Amino acid sequence: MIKIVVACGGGIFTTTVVTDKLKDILYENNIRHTITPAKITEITGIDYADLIVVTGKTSEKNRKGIPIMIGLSLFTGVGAEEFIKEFLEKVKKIQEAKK
Amino acid sequence: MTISRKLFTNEELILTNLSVKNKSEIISSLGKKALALGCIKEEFISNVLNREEDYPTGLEMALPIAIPHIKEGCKKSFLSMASLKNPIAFKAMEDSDKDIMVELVFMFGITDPADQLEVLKKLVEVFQDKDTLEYFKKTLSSEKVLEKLLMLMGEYLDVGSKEVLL
Repeated sequence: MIKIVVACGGGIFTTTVVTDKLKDILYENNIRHTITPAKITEITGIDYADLIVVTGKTSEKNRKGIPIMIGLSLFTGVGAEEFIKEFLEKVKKIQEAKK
Repeated sequence: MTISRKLFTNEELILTNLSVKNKSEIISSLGKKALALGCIKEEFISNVLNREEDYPTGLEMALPIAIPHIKEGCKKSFLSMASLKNPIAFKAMEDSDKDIMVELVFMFGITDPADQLEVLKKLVEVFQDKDTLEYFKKTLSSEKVLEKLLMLMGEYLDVGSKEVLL
C-alpha cells in the first residue's frame, strides 16, 4: 500500500483534479494506494506518507525526508508524460523498499 | 445529474476584450456581475483577491490563463470569463516569483469540489485545447463565446431559465 499526500495552497480545483489523475494512474498500474489531501503549509511535518505531491512550487522540505514531487503538469498537460514516468518509478522504488 | 452540480453561467458573466490595468480590476469586474446575479456574497471578491496573493493562479495552459476561484463566499457555483484587450500579469501557480502575462481569465466559484469533480475535469480539458482558447480570445461576441462553451460542456452548465425562454 502506497500512501500519498496531495498538497496545495488552499486551492480546491487543482488538488481535486490532480488527485483524480493520480488515482487513474495508480489503478491502471494496479498499485494499491491511499491519497490524502493536505495543505502545502503542512508538508514539513507530515509523517504518515510515502510520497508527497504538491501542485505549486515549494521550498519546504519534509522533516522525515519523504520525497516531494511537483504534480501541476497533470493539471496543465504540459510535461504530464514525463511526470507520470517519474512518479511511477518513484512509487515502484518505494514498493521495493517496503518488501 | 442535479442542477447543483452544474456551474451557472450566462452572457453577462462573459466579458470580452476587457480593457483593464491590473488583475484586481478583472476580478472586481467579473465579481460585480456574479454579485448582481446572486452567485456570490460581496466578500467573495476580497477572498479571491487575497487568495491570489498567497496562492496565485496564473497558468501556462494552451494559452496563458488565470483561474481565480474560491469556495468561501460562493452562494451558487458559477463560471465567468474575461478576454483581455491587453495581457495582464498574474503570478504563476507553479512559481509565485514568476509573472505570467495572461490573455484569458476564468473566474469561478465552487460550492462543493468533491461533488463537482466531473465539471472541473471538463474545464481542464477546455483549458488544454489551444483552438478553443484562441477562439475565446478573438471572439468579441459574448453570445458566441457562450454558444461555444455550451457546445463544449453544455451538460455541466446551467444558463438559467432566461435563456430557455429566449
